[in-house]
Amino acid sequence: MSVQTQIDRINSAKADILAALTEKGVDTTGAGLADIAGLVAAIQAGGGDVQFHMQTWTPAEDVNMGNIEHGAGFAPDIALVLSPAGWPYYGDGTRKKAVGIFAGVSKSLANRLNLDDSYGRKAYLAFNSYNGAVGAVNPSFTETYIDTGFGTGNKYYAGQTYSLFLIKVG
Amino acid sequence: MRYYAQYNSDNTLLAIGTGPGGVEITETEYNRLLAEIREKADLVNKLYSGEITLADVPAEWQEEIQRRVDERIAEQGAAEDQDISAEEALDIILGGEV
Repeated sequence: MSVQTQIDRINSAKADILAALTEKGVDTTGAGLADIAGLVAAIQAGGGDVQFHMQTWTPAEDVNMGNIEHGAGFAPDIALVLSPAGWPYYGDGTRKKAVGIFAGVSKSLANRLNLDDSYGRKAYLAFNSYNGAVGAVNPSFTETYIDTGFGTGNKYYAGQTYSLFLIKVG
Repeated sequence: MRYYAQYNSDNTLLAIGTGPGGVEITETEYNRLLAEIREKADLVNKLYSGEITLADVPAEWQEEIQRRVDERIAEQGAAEDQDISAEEALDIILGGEV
């Protein structure tokens, strides 16, 4: 959604609020404007609702997991998993220069990101830790799990603290 | 901040973290577990790379650390990366040079 569209929607919502308040006989001049400003400030850009969740996860042992359990309480549209120490790639199973992973955008292969640097994959959307390939199956996100769609899944290393960010829009 | 621990079905520790989820633990317990997890991971790395021997690992952790090293070797096929010729390997097997 463009910035202009968001501004238009905010202005539209603001006009609706002003009209509704006026209709109710509320004085929208002077001190009343402060209340309106507060109401307008509470409107999410685009008129939608955004939920955001963050947690960390430190495995006790190296583990391959397709699912990451989370406690957000909502099924996110976007999941972001950050690795502090890189991920194995291109089949040799060793950690190299890769520094992170962007995982997610549910049920849409077309929306996957794939950011490369000169050493290999720097950031991925939902990738396979064994061969570095971008997944051929759709990830899915639920109220309790992030499924990257790789069966046995990505490898997570003992003692590394992974950060999980979940976003739900609308 | 909320701290939590997750356990496997056999009640062994799977992970710890911050935020919602798992079983809530205290910050003190979280920090203790984090230090232990990282110390064990360091020992696994060092034993795997040959920087230390199993004798350098605390006795109560030796079985676990060795198991994890064995799992890594099996998974990553480290044997294929050993810089040793077939002739040298045969010598070792037959009791020659070691």
